[in-house]
Amino acid sequence: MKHFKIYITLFLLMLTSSRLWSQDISVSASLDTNMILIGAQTNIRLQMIQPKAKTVYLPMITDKIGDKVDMLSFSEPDTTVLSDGRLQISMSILITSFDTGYFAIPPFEYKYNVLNDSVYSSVNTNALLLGVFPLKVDMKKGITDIKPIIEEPFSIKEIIPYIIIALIVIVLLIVGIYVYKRIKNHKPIISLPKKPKIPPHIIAKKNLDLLSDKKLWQNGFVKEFYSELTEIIRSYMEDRFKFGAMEMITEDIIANLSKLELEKELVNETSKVLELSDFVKFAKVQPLADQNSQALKWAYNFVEKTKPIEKLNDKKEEVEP
Amino acid sequence: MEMDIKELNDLIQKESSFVDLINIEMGKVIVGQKHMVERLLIGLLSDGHILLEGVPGLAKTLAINSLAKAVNVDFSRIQFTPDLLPADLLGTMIYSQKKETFETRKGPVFANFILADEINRAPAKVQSALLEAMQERQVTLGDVTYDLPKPFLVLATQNPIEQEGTYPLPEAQVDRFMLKVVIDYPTKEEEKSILRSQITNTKPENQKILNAEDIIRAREVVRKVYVDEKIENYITDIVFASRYPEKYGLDKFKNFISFGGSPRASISMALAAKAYAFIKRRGYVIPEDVRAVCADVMRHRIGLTYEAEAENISTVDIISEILNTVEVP
Repeated sequence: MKHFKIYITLFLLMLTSSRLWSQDISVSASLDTNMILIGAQTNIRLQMIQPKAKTVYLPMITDKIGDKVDMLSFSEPDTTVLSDGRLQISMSILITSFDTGYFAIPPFEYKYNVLNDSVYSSVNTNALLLGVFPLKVDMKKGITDIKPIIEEPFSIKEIIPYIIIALIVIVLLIVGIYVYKRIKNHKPIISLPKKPKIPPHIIAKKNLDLLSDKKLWQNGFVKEFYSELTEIIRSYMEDRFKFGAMEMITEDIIANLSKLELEKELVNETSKVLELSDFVKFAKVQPLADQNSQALKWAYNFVEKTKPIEKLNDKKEEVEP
Repeated sequence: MEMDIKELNDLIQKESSFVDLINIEMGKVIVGQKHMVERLLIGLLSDGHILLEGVPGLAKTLAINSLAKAVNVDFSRIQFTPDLLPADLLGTMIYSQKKETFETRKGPVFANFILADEINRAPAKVQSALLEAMQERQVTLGDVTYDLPKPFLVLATQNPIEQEGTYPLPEAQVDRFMLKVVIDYPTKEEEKSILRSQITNTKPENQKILNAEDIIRAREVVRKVYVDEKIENYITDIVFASRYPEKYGLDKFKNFISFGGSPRASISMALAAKAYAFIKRRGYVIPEDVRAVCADVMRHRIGLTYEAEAENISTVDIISEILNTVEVP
């Protein structure tokens, strides 16, 4: 009996689901399908034809249509000019329902001006009936999704920012490790190409030439002469023999030189000159002019006799057949 | 007028003849310990007080006793104990019932040579009283200020072990000692000589070979010893390196030094170097002299941080590194 009533109602609705007219405005509503499964979606199609000069207001669409039908979205009105000059305005409303049964969708109201802006009249669409049916559950299969999960299409654009961030982090890590290692090993962070090191004897000879050109002792600056002379030789010793001659007293310098394979006479002479230099520097001693020139001569001689032996000849011999 | 170095050398040759004699006299009773004897002479000649530190039995007291005996001057030995009072040291005013007035009773500090034995065993007020007398060279009893005799030399000893119940000298007070000499054990040969000399019955007696005037005259000669500007720069460089190690390429010590040498360190180093040059019969100071006295002048003037103590770094390590870093003129 209950089903019979429903079918009668549906039949009556079908009969009235034609276009409704008011003056020269016609409106209609229809469903893509009037029977859906629970949770499935369907569209209500609204159509209105009106004269071009008439102002007609579209119906108000709310989240709930009736009691049990939910509005999901609705499209923008689509206006088409018909051949007779009238306008056809169409729109669709996406609906669903999560209850089962037959649900009436009430008519949609279109308002329009009658005389002037203050007097309105309206025209309603036909009512609709939507049947929502439960899904047959196969108890053997258990609970399953109604639809499978939609797979998002893979897009390279989406992962590009992550790739860039990862690359920046990797670069920063590499730079950080490099800087840490350089600092830990007491090395400059950016190592510039090293200039070829000038051998110490070349530097010493050049400095001795400069000292000789200054003619310090000849002009009465004896103390300055001996200070510079000993500084040049001590600096040379430091670079040549790798002991801290600049931070050593005469006694320690001689002790260090004695350990090296140097001529005994040369070491003795060095001792004498360094002691004389100490006298001049710290005891205001004024040596004879001859002693000054001898000291300079000793310096040249010391550098010459202790400079590293060049292995050029050996190489040549090796190359020659 | 500035004296010619040659004249000064001649004067030093003449005035320093007692150095050998003192060495001989002290050698009669002290075996080895040449470093300590030399430092005692430096203190004597440069008017600087000396703090001797060493474990018990290293002849610290005996050396000072022998030096005092070799010099014909007044000598007082004060054993510092926890119950010692400043008045026991400096003297006090005593009421005379007979005269009905207060009479001054001078303490043992009124002597030329003072041996302050185990100075760190007396409380701070006694140490302070002695150290004030050392600095001002005068003592005030009641309303009257008394000058201490000349020469006035304090030779203090302290024991690095047995710290319980001691009162360590504060940095400001320890700075008043020109030299802090650390005494080490004798060598095996020296130990044998000590053993032989002590098990025989003969006890050598020191002869008095000097008097107060000789010392004052020698001190005047020591003051004349020439110190070149280069040596002055060397001394200030060493002291500054202890204050600002990072400026001398010693960044590693920056966190180990809480305070460096005071200006008193520079003065003491120059005076001690002069005295050392005098002992070596020279009228001028050379870098060797500065290096010879540097450790004894600086070791008690450098403050170490907790980091240094945790890293087991001593002041001697720092001084040694400074000497190996600062350029010799």
